[in-house]
Formats: sequence, structure tokens, C-alpha cells
Amino acid sequence: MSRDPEEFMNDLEKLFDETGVAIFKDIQFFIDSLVLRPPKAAGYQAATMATQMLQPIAKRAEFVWKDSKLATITEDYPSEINVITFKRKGGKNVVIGGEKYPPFYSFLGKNPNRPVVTADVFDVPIHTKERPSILRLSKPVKEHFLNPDVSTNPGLWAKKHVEEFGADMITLHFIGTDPTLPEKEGGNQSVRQALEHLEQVMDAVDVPIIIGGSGNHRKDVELFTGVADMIAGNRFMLSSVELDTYEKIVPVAKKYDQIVLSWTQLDVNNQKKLNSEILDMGLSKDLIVMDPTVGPLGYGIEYSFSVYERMRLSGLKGEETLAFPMSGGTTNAWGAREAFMADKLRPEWGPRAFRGPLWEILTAFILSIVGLDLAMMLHPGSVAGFKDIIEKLSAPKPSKPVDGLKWITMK
Amino acid sequence: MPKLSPLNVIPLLPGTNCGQCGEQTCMSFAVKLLDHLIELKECKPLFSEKKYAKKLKKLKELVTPPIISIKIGTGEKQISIGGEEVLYRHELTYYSPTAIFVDVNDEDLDDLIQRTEFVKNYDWIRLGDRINLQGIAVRSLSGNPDTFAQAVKKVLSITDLPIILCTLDPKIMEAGLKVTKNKNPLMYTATKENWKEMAKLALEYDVPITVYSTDLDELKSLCVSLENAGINKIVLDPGTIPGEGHIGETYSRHIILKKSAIEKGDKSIGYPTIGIPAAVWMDQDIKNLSLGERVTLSYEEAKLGTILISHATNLLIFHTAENWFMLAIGVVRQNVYADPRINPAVEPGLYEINNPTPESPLFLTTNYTMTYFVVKGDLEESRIPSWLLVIDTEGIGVECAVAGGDLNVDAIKEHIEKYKVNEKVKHHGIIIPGLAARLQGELEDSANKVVIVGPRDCGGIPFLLEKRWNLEKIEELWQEMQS
Ligand code: SF4
Repeated sequence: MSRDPEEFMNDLEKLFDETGVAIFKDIQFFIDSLVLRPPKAAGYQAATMATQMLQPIAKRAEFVWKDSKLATITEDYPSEINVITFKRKGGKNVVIGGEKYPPFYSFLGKNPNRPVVTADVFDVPIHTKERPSILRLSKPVKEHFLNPDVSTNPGLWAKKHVEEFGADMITLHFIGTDPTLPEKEGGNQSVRQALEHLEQVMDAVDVPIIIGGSGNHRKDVELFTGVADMIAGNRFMLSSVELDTYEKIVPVAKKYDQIVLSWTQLDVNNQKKLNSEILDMGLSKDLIVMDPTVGPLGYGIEYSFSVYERMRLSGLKGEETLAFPMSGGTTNAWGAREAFMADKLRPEWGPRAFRGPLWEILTAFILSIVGLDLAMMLHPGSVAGFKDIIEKLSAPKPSKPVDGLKWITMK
Repeated sequence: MPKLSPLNVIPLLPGTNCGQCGEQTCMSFAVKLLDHLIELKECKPLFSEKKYAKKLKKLKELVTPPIISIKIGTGEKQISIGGEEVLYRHELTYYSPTAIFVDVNDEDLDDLIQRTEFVKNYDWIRLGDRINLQGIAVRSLSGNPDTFAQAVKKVLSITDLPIILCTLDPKIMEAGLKVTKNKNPLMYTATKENWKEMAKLALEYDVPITVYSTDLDELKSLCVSLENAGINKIVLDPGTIPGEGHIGETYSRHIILKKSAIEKGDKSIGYPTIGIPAAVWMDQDIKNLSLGERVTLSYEEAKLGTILISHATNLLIFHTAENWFMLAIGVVRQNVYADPRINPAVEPGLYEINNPTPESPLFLTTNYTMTYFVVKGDLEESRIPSWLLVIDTEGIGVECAVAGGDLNVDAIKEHIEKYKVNEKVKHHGIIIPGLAARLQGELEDSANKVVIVGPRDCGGIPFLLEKRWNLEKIEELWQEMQS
């Protein structure tokens, strides 16, 4: 028991008064230093001395409320992230960018637009035993699209994403246009086939669309050029341009007023370089989104995390070549074995039905805390889970206070 | 507070370049000191020679982190939280990973035992790092000091992990402290209402104490009042409140505290922080929730935990004690606290795994650290002697490297030559990752190899070898290719 110092001194004096002896046992003194010498004389003299020596207790262990104030945090972010508007003629527009502060720093102010979701659709059906295909999706993902099978028609697939699962936009990945992939599994498709698929999606949904290439550089140029007429009048996004391909693709974007996705791989300097090359070619800065590459949770997100964070902070601090909204293929999360591995192979990881979608949500969410504006996602549960937390985080400050200590006594 | 540079440190070192610290010069010592690669005490002259006493004192002040470290628990399982010097991890690694605690209450003893066992046994290795949990937060639900003391005792009988005693009632707190004597538990929590009694207990039992307020001025006042009473082992709880709008405010409060301590140098709140994702369960009738409702709440708890871990909240208390949940939280923490200075690329080359012979299978992958470690780990675990050709893709994983063109046939051919693969491996087969399947045709034509497309995940390698690795057949195929 610690005691009130004053009371303690009173007791001590009383003790000396009555007995002339004081025995210290089992007490701790919370003072800097204390020297106890045998009293030169008994009685009051010693008591007075003790009083003087013990003064620090009263001084240190004093329980008085000290009103203090935390200095307000003011931070100067001189620049803003460019605003990008995806436009769908006769349909919905989607706006990203325009940030003035780091994500969710509501103590500084509110950013105008919140992160959004674009959902993946492909130009080949999902691989099944009966139907070999280049598109192999993990079980927890594909079961949402195979029953009924919407994967044979990108339009139906897109519709499901938008109407049932709440995606803000659709990315149509033309992976089947890669000429090096086998035809019998959906590869080596012509641009004409691509146009058909695009038409199906445009007819089915009224949201902006992202045109995803196959990664085959030559074919991508053909693809982006080929679809340009069909998408003219809308403002979609060509995904993506790289250091090897921008020279051919940027002119298409410029001519048809399309956005480009400037893609580099976890390298801030390369990203600056590519962006400034694109700007130098005369593409307006409200037509550029960048993607520095997503390493999924568990397999490199630490690199992406720091690259996204550095780029966003530099953009806000005035680095013009980095002041663009950021996109990311958070679908990559399904490449993590913690997300896709079957329960029987890893019983110690718990049910995949729970860990899988969570993996994709956390991959998208943790990057949105450092600047991701556009999450490319796949699993309907992940889309919902991601959008939910973004909404809760972006909602205005509630007026009613909540007792944050109730958790101590929750049942 | 601006980040320290070696130039701030140099004038305070002896400057003799004597080399006793193992460094060539005082300059390189200074650089390493700031990067936490060497400890101050390694500069022996600084401590042994009296004339450096003043410098030493200044230096100690200078390198004391703006957020001090607090120890909880004792012995082997003791943890130390706090001590970070930056808010953005790309500036300097976060050092002490967020401690993860799980709550138990004092009314349901079966549940308490089960949860405590879970925490105690949750311990595994992932890609070289240990993933485990740090302690138990015991809540007084009963409101009865004896019941609480019994519950704490029960936990102590199961594990020597650090403990947090959670109650607002000083009498109950004291009952808990009595049974945790010398175990250095963390008190949770002092508030504006109970702080005097709680402070006395913290002094008497000499243990760290949490202060709680969602009003940061009040929180700071609590700190200053405790400091004034001679207490300096403090942990800050600015409140973790779930739900719309509240989550944003919660994150903001945590960031403000870190910024005030680290960037503004406010010493009076330079303490570690605690977050309570478990609070998502606080208004729920937990026992009567459906499975779906439970999972939804666990997801919310995981997201709340993630945003707090992302900017270095030092200790978190969770309620969900399940494998799938801790898997995600454990990996989020592992990744956030990974050293960003570690190069994402490993050396390219031909690696030997499990003492291969010239007949052993040859695998190919990229030099992205993650990919490399996963493939290597799986091959080692399978005990299959094999060769692993690691291609320089500048630290990019297979899928992106194929898409971006870093992993291409020419690059593979160059590596085969450079690392003398054909001298060491005497067959003509090569197994490429499933994600690089599209390289198969071209690679067969131009590298003159029989290319086998492996699984998309290397976990499937043993299965592949069993079903499809047949040396005779590979050589037959190769002969055919030659004609
Ligand atoms: S031991 Fe100290 S004085 Fe000697 S070189 Fe190292 S830092 Fe300099």
C-alpha cells in the first residue's frame, strides 16, 4: 500500500512522540536518493531530520491533475494528386484522385474521392476438367462464376460483378489475345474476337471499362488500336503501358481521349521516368493512372507498401511525376498459397472459405492505407469486404461519442 | 523532430578511429548506430574513459528513441514494445513488432482455458520468421475481486506469457496485481476518473500502466499527471472504436500520437500505443451470433487490426482466437515489420538442393526473394535432390516477369550458358513454373531442351515429379527433337 505522504509524516512524528523509536520495515521510497543515518539525538530532533530527509516523497509522489494540451498537428502538403474521371457515355462516371492529404488523415482534412473497385472479367471461360482453358482460377473464386456458368460470356460475367456484387467498374482482361497461347484453350484470339467480347460487356453494364492487354507487347498495341474506335466517346483505360510500349500506345490514348495505366515494377525511379516520358509525349495529366505492382500479402506486400507510400507522399509534396492516382492488381492475393490452398493440405490454416477472401481484402486494404485508389479485385466477398471498410473509414466523424471501454465487460 | 544524420553523432564520438568497435572509422560506426546495426556500448572508449562522460551523456539522449520501450512480463517470454523512431517504414525499419494479445474473461473458465492454450500453442515458422502470439488480456467481467484473482491465477497456471489486467476498478486491479507479483503485468487502465488509485497501485507494484482517453488532451494530461507522480512506464490507449466514422477517428488518433511523439518530439506522450480490435465485439450478444455474423465481425476485427499494425501501433488485443484469423494477422505483422532494406532480389545462378547428381531434375524460377525462398523451401522439404536455375528478373516474381518480359527465352539461354548448366546437368529436361507456361514452345525450339510445365504453385512439385518426370522419356523426346 502506498500512503499519503503527509499522513505518513504525521504518523511518524506521533510514533517518535510516544516511543522515541521508529522501525522501517517493508517500505519502498519513491525518491531520488535517501540516506538514513542513526539519529544523533533521540526524540524530536531525529523526527525533524527525518521529515527533512523524507521531503522528496511528498514532492514526487504527488497526485494532482495536470491539465495539458497536445499541440495541433499541422502539415503542409503543397500539391494535390491529379483527378481522373472514367467516363461512360450514357452511363456512370467514376472519379478517383484529387487527394490533398495522405489517405484517411481525417485530422488534417477530407480527401474528395475514396478508393474504388474494378472487378476482373476475362475473354476466355474458366478452366474446368471438361473444358481446358488458359484461365485457371482457384476454387473459392471460380465457384462464384460457374454456377450458373457466366464465364463463357464476358457480358454476363460483368453484369454479375456490377449488379450482384457492387463493382464500380469492370476490367476486361484480353488474356486470350496472346498469340503464343494455345488456341484450343482460348489463346491466340484475333482483335475481331476481342471486339465482340468488348461489345458484350459494353452492352451488359453501364460502368466504365478497363481494357486489359495480354502482356504480349506487339499484340497489345494491336489490341488497343483496334478497340479505340469502339470505345471513342467514353473515357476508358488502356491497361497497361510500359517502358517498352508507351511510345506506340500513348498516341492512341491521346487521339481517342483515353486513360493509360502506367505500369512499372516496384521501382520508384522507373515509375517517375515512365510517367514523365508519357507526359512529354503530350498526354494530359488527367489521363494517367499508375501501377507500381502489387506483391500480395505474404509474398512481397512489404515492398509494394513502401513503394505506394513513398510515391503518394512525394506526389503530395510536389513531385509532379508521381502526382497520379494509383491502381493495383490486388487479385494477385489469390496467388498466395494461404489464400488458395485446400483445407485438407493445410488443416492448420483453418477453412479456406474464410482465409481466402480475407487475404484479398487485406491485400487491397493495406495498400489503400498508403495510396491505392483503384483496386482490381475478383472475389465477390472481397469486393464487399473491401468496400465496407473503405466506407466506414471515410464516413464523417460521428456526433455521438461511444464508450470505448465497454469491451472490458463484454459477455 | 527531424531524423538524425551521422553528422549529429560524429562530434559526440571520440573521433580517434581506433577500431575497437569493429568498424574502421567513427563515421561508419555512426552510420551503423543510426541504422541499429550496432549498439552504442560497442564504442568501448566512450564508456571507459572519463573525458568522454559528457559526450556519452549527450549521445545517450540523442539516440534515445522518441517513443520509449516498455517491458511487459518477465523471463523468456517478456516483451518490449515501442522504441520506434519513424512513422513511415520506408525511412527506417520498425523494430519491435506489434505485440498480439488475446482476451479472456473471468466468468467462463472453460473458455479461458481454451483461449489461453490457443495463445500458448500458436507458434510456427513462416519463410524463416517465427509467427507467435505474445500474451493474454484478462478482463474482469464478474466485477468481483476474488473471481478475477482466481481467473488470473488460472492463466498463470497454464502459461508464463505476459498478462494484461483489465478493469476500471482499483480494488479488482489490486486483487489481480497481488496474484501477479513479480510478473510485471500491464495495468489496463487508468482513466480520468480512477487515475489516482490506479497510479498508486502502479507505484506500489512497480508495473507499467495504460492510460485511456479518446480526448487526446485528456490523454496527455493523464500522462503528465502520472509523470508528476513519478510514473514513467506508461502505455497509451487513445480508444479503438469500431463502426462507421469511428474507425477513421480511431486511426487518426493513433497517427496523431505517433506524429506528436516522433515528428514533434513531444516527450510527455512518447510512449507505446495499444489498440483493441476486440472492441468490434463489444455491443454484440456474442454467444448467440450465427456463424456468418461471427465471420463478418472477425473480418472487421482483422481490418481494424491491419490498419493499426500498418503504422506501428505497438500492442493489439484481439478477440477472435482462430487459426485462419491469426494466419492473416500474423502475416500482416510479418510483412509490415520486414526490413525494407532487404533486397527483393537474390543472386541469380544455379543452386544445388539436397546434393543433386547430373541426373537430378532441373527447375527454373526467378530471383525474386519470395519466389526463390518458397521454391527452395518446398524442394528442400520434399528431399528431392535437384538443381534450381535462378534467373535474374531484377527481383520480379514469375507472373509479372513473364508479363513484363524480364523472364524470356533469351534470358534463360544466357543463364544456362553463364552458369554452365549443361556441364553440371547431364540430361535435357527443364521444369518451368506453371505461370511461365507460355514460354514452353519457344524455349524448346531455341534452347534445345525438353520443357516440362510445372505446377502453378511449387507445392505441387513432388506430385509432378512422380507423375511426369521420367528421364528415359525425356531423352527419347529430345532425340526426336534432334531429327
Ligand atoms: S570504438 Fe569508438 S572511437 Fe573507436 S572507431 Fe569505433 S566509434 Fe570510433
